[in-house]
Amino acid sequence: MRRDCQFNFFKSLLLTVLFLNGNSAYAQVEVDITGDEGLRIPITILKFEGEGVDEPRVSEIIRDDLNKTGLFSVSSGNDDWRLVSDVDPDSYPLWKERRVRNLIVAKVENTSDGLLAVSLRMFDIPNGSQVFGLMLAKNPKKIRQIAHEFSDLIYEKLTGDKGIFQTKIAFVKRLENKFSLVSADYDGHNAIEIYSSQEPIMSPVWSPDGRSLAFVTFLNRRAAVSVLDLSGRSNGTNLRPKIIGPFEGSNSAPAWTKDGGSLAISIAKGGVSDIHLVSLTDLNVVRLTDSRSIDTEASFSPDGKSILFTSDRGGNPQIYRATSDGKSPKRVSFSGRYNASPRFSPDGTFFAFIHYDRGMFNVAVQDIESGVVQILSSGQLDQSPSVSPNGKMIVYASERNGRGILRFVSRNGRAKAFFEIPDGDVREPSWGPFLDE
Amino acid sequence: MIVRTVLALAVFCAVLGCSNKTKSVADIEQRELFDNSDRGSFEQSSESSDEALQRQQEELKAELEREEQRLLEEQQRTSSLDSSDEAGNSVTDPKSKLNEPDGLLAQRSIYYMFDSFEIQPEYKPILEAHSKFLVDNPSFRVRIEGNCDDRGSREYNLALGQSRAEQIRKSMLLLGVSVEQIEVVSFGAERPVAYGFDEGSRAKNRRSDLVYID
Repeated sequence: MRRDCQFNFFKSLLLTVLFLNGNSAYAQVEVDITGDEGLRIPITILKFEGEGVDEPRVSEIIRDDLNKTGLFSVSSGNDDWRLVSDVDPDSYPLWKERRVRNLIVAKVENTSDGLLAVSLRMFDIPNGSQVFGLMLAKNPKKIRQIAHEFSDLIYEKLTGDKGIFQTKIAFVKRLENKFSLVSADYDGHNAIEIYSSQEPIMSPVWSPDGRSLAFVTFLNRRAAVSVLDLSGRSNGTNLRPKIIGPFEGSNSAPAWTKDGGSLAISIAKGGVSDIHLVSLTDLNVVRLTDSRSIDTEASFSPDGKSILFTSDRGGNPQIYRATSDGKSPKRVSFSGRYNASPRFSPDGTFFAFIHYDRGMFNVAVQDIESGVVQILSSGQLDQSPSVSPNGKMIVYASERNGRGILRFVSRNGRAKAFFEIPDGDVREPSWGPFLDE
Repeated sequence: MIVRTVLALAVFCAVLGCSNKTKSVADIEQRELFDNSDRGSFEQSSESSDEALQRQQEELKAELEREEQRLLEEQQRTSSLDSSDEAGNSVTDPKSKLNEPDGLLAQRSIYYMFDSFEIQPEYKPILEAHSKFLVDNPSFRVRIEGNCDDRGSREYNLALGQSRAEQIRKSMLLLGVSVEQIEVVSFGAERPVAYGFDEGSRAKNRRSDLVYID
């Protein structure tokens, strides 16, 4: 009996949600949570009053958001519980009896002026109090935005950290010989192709203010770094990217400095790639690394004092750390013969990277202080990790049934999710910053 | 030109030997390299400077004669190839030579081990043939396109593709091809010829292509 309980304790939860959002090409999102349920924050999200059965549903989107973080144990309560959109203080003992800790109730209405209005309340049952109550009314097309805004609020109230559910990701889509740069909600919905080309597109990365994307295109067969300013974009216009340089040789692996005024760019002139710092105002170039080996994939620490980069100066690709002017490089990756694609976390306490071991390329994180490495993914061919702006999730490229997809893993490794598109491959995600309105 | 080519060939072999990571092959080729250098240093250390100088001059003269002989043979060979009509007009178009289906020149791809830019010895004859063709036809230009399989970091692969192409460029320069005739680009893992997730497909993608440009 006791063994059964223990087994239950470490149970795995699998949820499959099919989204049939008209303006989104992104078909399937699957969330898989493993690990000790007792360590997760319990939250009960009751069926929303007035919510239909048609997808998408606000309640489902919120559940999916919270599940992806791996921090919550989300339940929808018992079917025989009476549907409510508010909780009377007199009924707190009843919810206690039902072993509910954090409770979400809500009401969904269509207003007379055509808006979708969602009134949502969150209760702390053991404490006997309402945590917050808020009504959001928007165009029904913005249903996902409404849900993500509530998810952020709930997440922040329960963890103390800022939620990432309203942030954006950019990624590259390939359909046969057409490459597109795509901007989408963090979960892949509301995707918009912002630039496309017959030439490969590589390494998109958001500027610190979230207004521009730097990426790599090929000009006359040579890799070149471009910047696309999205701030003036109206729907459907193919913006013209601005080429930075180009500088002689292959230009790639752009990385923004924190002030957004410069890009670290890997320039391979006469053979091997070295990292250079390029000012976006006057195109002044300063060399940061100078080795006879490949130096590429710079990532600045959030304090701007150091850079991580990939180098094969030791014979195989490994991760090195130097001061931000490229001085005193020291190797920081030691396990395995191939470590690459380092990305500093937004708080600078760890970095995500690709680790190769026993024929598998996986996403790993390494603590900056202790050097402790944790492998977070289990695919054969995982690539291009990008850390969420709150440091709690990582998005990366992977493959499934021979197709390129994007996967998510929580920083603690407990929650995994993915999305794919019905046509073509998706790859090289970049997680955008918090957008302060 | 031929002298340059032959000398360059020797250096090329040495370069291949030095840089080769494959243990057994590297051992053999390095030994060849040492044999050559031993011969050179022996002459200097065991004789007086005058005798050495004389010997060196003789050596040089002999080598020159050998080269002249080779040059003559080479010319005879090429002319016999080129002039097929009795009037002595050269009719062999370099392009058709390039496109002979069974010739070494028809082979335009060099393949690699994973995460390596070393040229495997089996591809040496192909590079030599193309280098000779470019030396003989200075108006021809080639673009070396480095490619990788899709494993690992895309950005690292872009840099690795560059190293692959660059390594070939260096070899061709040593074989006498002039700088202006070679252009080097890398597509990293972005332009695969095979899209499968198996080793067979990946091996096809780890390659440098020689593309003749007009």
